[in-house]
Amino acid sequence: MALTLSVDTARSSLSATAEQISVVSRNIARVGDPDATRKTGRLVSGPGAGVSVAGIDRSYNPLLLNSYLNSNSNYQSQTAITTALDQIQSTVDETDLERSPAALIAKLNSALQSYSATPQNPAVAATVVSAAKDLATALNSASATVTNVRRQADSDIAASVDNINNLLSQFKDLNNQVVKGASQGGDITDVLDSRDAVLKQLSSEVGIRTVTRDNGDMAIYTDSGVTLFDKSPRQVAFQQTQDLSGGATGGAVYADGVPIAGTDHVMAISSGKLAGLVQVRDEIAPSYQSQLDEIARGLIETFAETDQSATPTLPPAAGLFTYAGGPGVLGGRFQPAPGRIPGPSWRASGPPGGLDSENGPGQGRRGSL
Amino acid sequence: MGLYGVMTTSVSGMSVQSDRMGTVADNIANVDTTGYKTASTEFATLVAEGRVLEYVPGSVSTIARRGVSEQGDMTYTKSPTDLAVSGNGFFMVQSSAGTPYLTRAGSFVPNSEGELVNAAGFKLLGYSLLGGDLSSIINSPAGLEVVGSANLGMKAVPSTTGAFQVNLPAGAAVTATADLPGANAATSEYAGKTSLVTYDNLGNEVVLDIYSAKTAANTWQVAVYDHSKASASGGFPYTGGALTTSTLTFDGTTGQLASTSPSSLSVTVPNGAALTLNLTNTTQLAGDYTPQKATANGNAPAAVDRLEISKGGIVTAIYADGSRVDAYKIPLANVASPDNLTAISGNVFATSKSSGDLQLGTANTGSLGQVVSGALEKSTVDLASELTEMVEAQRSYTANSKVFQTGAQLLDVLVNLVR
Repeated sequence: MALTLSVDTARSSLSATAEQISVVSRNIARVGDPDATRKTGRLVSGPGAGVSVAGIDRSYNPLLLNSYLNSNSNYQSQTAITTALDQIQSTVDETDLERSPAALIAKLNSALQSYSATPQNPAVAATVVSAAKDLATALNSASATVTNVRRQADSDIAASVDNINNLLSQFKDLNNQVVKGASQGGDITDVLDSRDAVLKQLSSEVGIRTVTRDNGDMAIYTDSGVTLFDKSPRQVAFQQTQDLSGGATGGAVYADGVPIAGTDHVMAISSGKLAGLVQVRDEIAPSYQSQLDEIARGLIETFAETDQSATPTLPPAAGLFTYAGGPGVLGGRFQPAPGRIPGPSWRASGPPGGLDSENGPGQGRRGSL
Repeated sequence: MGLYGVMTTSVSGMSVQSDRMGTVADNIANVDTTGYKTASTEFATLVAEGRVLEYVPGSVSTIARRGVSEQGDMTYTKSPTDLAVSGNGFFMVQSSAGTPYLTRAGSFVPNSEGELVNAAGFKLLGYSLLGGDLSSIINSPAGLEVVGSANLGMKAVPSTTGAFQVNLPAGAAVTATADLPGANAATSEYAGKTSLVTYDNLGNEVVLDIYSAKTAANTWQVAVYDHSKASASGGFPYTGGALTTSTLTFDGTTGQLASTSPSSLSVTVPNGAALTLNLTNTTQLAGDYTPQKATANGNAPAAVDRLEISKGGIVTAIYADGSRVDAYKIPLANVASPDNLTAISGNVFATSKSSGDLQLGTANTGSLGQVVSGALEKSTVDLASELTEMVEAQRSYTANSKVFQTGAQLLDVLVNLVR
């Protein structure tokens, strides 16, 4: 029997080597795949007299993966903010360039100075009106851009939520394969790679934390601790808001019934594209909008016309700059002025209005400068 | 008479050598048969009683032997249902007619009915463990069933134990009593929520929502709700109220659960079993609400995916979702004299009067040995010794035929004397 035994042993060695070669060829085939890990066949002696590949190991560092997931989430949230800021920046521009509100105010200022020197010259008066029109247009278009940025952020949030739900359902399939494979002792290294790839994509959308359990089963929580996946995916829900003009508040993002971002959030996420987009929609854009509002309010108030009688009876009324809620002028220093703009309106709680300089000197309903 | 005696003796000699050739032929034919045990021949003299002064040649007779107790080498395969015994035991199998036999040939594969059948068509027998573990093994084939996945069917396991370990944020604001999760009001507030998948008696997925809210310094309320009863928005208020609420207290200096605090959470899963969630290692430390571990056992209905056999002969059914259930115990059989077992076609053996009675036992006990999964016992035939034996048999046969020939020639000479 020793003869047949030696044949068997040689055969086991051949088959183990063949398996190792197949592992190497798999590695080479996936050399360009960023999600692939290096696999190695683990050789053990036996069973019996021969040698066999006991399992396939992958070079994998869980700490490194976690660190990647965290960094990626932070990177994506900052990217979302940067993209929005870039768009908003185009409305501010360099302060000394022509299109910025600051430059346009300076232009109006100098036109007014020229006009005060030669008040009888209609051409100079027309320059003032045109400068005022330019300023109103610039403010209106800046406001439109801000609304647009918010609307874009809102629809990006919806897309991100769809993507999260989609990734979670993919994750479920892969996780099931991992659990099944691990309990049967099969080679699950490729499935683990695919599962990690889904995790990486998920971390782009929302900051996540993972917990590994028996048989390689994995649970996913948001960075704030809300369950996203535990045996089955949890629903992530978001209602898109169609009209975000005038500072209307957008809907909250719910995960597993918990508001994780947006209005009245309870367990707020802090990273991922979703967090960045919500921050753009609910903080950055509205805060810029209120600054634009304040410029508009200042202009309306500055150019308001007051009753010049000895005992004023009429309330102040909008003058060179007016708005849809005119001709009245809103009092109060910091009360945000209603903007103009048919469509988008200022963030303020005031009535939607329009900033307008259509009424030039001598043509206005309420008189002239 | 002596010459005739020589002829009959040499004929018996040729006859036993041809028997021997038969065993050699059989052995060589079965050199690769799984579980085959080498047959051999032993010879015994038959002495013709005669007067002391005269030698009357007797003859020789064959006694066929089978080295049933000899352990064959293992050859390893990729199939987990290929079984071999490393030791003295035998598998119990059953023919299609239902007769129990013993065998060492364990190349079992599931047939169309999920029964494990070996290459010769014999079905593997074992004790069912589905009704609980057996207290003892009975020393008779009674009670043995055909091992197969068919009668395992779909199976669901309700959740009974689990763990819920989180870090509750120590810096969380204290929630007003009316707004605690346990109040189940639309205004209920909480510092953290984790949902956990559990299974009811029928294997339906029941998602439990576990809310935590701080009621006072170092004191937390934990409330568990059935997610399916949540309001349209997925939160409070839940119809039917909380499944359970519990108050946890923490040690203010260590952040660990206080010794007076409950260390587990008991909740009855709707339509399911009582579930005990272990809260050990739940902490109240600075930082975010962080689930460390949230698990529950149980599984959704799943069909048997495959069978796995342990060294102790336990057949474990592995369900499609990865859960494992011990389904059968494969006993190992032995007899007092295995070499005297009667060989039957299909690599099986039957007990005979000389072999002694059947004794069933558990693998890994006594000298029965262990069940090796993913291996087959090779034939015990050693080709080298068979071929040399064949040459020996040929030599002996030739020599006997020479004796016969010589006897015949001598008779010839004798007959020719009268011419």
